[in-house]
Amino acid sequence: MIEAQRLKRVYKVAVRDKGIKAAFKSLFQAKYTSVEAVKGIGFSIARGEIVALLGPNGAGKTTTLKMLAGLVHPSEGELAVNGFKPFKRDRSFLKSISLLMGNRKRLNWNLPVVDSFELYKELYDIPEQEYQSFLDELIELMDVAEIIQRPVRNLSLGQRMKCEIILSLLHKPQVLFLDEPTIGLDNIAQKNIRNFIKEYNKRYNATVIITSHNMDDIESLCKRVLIINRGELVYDGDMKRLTDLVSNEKRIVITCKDNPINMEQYGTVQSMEDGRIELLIERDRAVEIIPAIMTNPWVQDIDITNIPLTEIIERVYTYGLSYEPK
Amino acid sequence: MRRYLKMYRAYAKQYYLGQLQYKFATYSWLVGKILEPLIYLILWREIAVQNHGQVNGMTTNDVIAYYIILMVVNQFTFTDLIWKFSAYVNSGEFSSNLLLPAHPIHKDIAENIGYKLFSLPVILAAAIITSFYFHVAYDFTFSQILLFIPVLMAAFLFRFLFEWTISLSSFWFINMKGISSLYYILILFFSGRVVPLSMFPEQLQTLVEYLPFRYMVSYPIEILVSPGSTIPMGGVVNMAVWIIIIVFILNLFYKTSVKRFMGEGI
Repeated sequence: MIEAQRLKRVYKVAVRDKGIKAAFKSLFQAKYTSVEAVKGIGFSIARGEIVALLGPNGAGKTTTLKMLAGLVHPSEGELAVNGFKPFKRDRSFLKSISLLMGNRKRLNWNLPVVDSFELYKELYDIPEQEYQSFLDELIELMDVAEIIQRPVRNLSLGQRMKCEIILSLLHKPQVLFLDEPTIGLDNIAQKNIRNFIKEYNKRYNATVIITSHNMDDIESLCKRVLIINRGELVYDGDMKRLTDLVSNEKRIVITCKDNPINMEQYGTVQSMEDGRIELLIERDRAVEIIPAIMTNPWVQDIDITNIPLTEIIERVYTYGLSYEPK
Repeated sequence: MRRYLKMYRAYAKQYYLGQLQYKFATYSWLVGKILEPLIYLILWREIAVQNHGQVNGMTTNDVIAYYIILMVVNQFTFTDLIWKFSAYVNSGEFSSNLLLPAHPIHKDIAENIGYKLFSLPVILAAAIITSFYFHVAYDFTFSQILLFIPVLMAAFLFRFLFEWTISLSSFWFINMKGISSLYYILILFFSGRVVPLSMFPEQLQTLVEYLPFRYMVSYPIEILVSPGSTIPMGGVVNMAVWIIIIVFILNLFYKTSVKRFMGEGI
């Protein structure tokens, strides 16, 4: 479905020193530097997979997404999506994909939502009957029947996002690129959208590539993650394997009445103040350590959690896959 | 073909409906577009009257007819692409257009048609009222009208393609103000909007014959109103050559520009 080999994108960026003198000099002698946004990455994604494309700001994930969607021409490497070279922007290719950008609007701001749906029906040449039945289905799934006749400018962010998603799916794309699909939404709207993406993926066996800084999106939707850092692919694999690789620990938060002593015997103390101790223990030894802690008379409450995905990803960004707990 | 017609109709309809939301802004803008030729009409009519009813081979009636037809032709071929296109590219809106299953030029052409459907009835009404007010006599022959219609269509297409090509510079320059100001000054003077080209000095007339701007506004008017009532047929060849050149440049420039595009705004 998606095959990328040695994918590279280099940008030419103008640079100059500070000050008026340098600004004038640059008028006659412009200096440029090459920035390698993506440095020869490769991966393969099968039909029906939901894959997260993660990375810190400036890591190259959006450039990768733009190359996959055909917006940006790769400087080097091979890329095929659905059997097409994306950058050629073949009509059949464009009809088989959709790119939803959480911070971009495609609905016509001035007109009722349904007018934008009608426009896309014509652009994608969707037969009337097929359009109407699928639209009804999407309206029901997204629960937007009451708002589609209102002008877009009068909708809330969450309502607009739901309608943007419907617009992206009207032509039943086989590949869906989602860039921050839940940005700015409240928890209920986020959950609805995640459920909807899952349902669409299941029903149409669609491939979904998602970039998001919201780890709830990633945890809820993706089994596989691609992590890009400084233009390089640092991890490609199962989410569980990633967790095992960089977080062989459990986090324990203990509330206690006295000042306990010798907590280091159980694990790594991360913080200790006002009767609240945060402790990292080896996951494999949890069954032995937790009962031992609980036998202490000063323990009032104990809370045991896995390392949150946000922190796991932060560790990969900062230390790579060779993270050692301190 | 059917697909394109449906697509054009859908885009034009959307744009038309959008314009209805901003009626006051659009009609205020149109007042300016009516006033510009009207002011030149009054000035040149006065000059013709003081010059015993003739100015550079044009009668007072010709001068009035010229500016009234100019009002319609200029609106018919008008585009406001350059600044809009630049904003699209810099804000990232162009990325969305690139992802649609049609060349982005179709959207712009269709929206321009939508705008014309909204604005032309107003301009035509203004032209009819002005004609009655100044008692102008139109004495076109059937063959003049027969030639005028396709030339007007070609002028619209040419001006659109030319401005779309200039707009592609937005991929190369972030600020397009300089380029657009230069272009608007050139088209203002060399397309016959201020002064009919037949009133230019001889050497300048030869030059404008080879420049593209004449074929965007002046040439269709010249077919209906030309000194001595001789139809300047030679312009058809020049116009056709310009259209071929601009289609070639546009294609080449579009491919290199889009290859350079970094998908700003997302």
